[in-house]
Amino acid sequence: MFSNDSSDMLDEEGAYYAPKRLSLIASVSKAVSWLVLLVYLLGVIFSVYTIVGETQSGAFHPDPYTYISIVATLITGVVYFLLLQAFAIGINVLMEIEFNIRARKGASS
Amino acid sequence: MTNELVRAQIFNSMELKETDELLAIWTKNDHDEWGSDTFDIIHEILEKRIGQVPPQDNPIHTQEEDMDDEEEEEEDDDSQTIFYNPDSLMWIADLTSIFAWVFGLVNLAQAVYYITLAISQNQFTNLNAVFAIVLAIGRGIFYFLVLKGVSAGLYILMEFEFNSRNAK
Repeated sequence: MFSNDSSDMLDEEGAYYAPKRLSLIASVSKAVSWLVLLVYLLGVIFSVYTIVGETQSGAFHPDPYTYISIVATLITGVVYFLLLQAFAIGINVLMEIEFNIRARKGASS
Repeated sequence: MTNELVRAQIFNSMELKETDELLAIWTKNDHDEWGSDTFDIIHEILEKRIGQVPPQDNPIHTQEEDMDDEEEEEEDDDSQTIFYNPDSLMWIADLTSIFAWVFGLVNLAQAVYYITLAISQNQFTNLNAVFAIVLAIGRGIFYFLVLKGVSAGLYILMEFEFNSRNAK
């Protein structure tokens, strides 16, 4: 996932945090984001499947709220996906900043 | 980091400068201090602000030979981030910004549905109906702000990261 440079850098412990652990959190967050998206997608597919079944049996009466709910479920899944992805990227950018500052400090001393 | 992003960051920082300061940089034409891209950007900004851009002095290029190699190396360095991909960040940030509107609109649609339902059934005195309407609107506004904030936050972090790299 990361280059050799980053592996070396991850081995350097920070004073207040463990880069490896933080990197693991970011990776888990990314993986969970895909899982969340998948679960919501399955939920939407299940809802659509139920509606189609009920429509065929004549039990479903078209209701705008049902359609809005399905769209809302789908978008909620995408939003959670984006928030988790953003969280993961945010952590990685913060680490990049921290390493840049550390390198600058090392170069000046 | 992509060239467009670097250009956008130079543009933003030049845009903040006063016209007099930009004119001074432009006329001095010091290529030791400023890159060629920066002069293109300054020309673009000055053209927009004052229309006619004055001619430049003879270019200052005292370190030109050494600079070519160094600049190439620097550009290579700039295109390498270790822990994240700037393109992915921009993609996520843009998508988050778009979905702020989408999520807000879907919640608005839900609120409109509850309102029409409450009107048709004359349920405005029903606390549950009013609560559902307020909740849908509130949720829409809340997530809209959170998502917009996240999108802007990612760009700010990238700006921080870029600046910390230049300082290095």
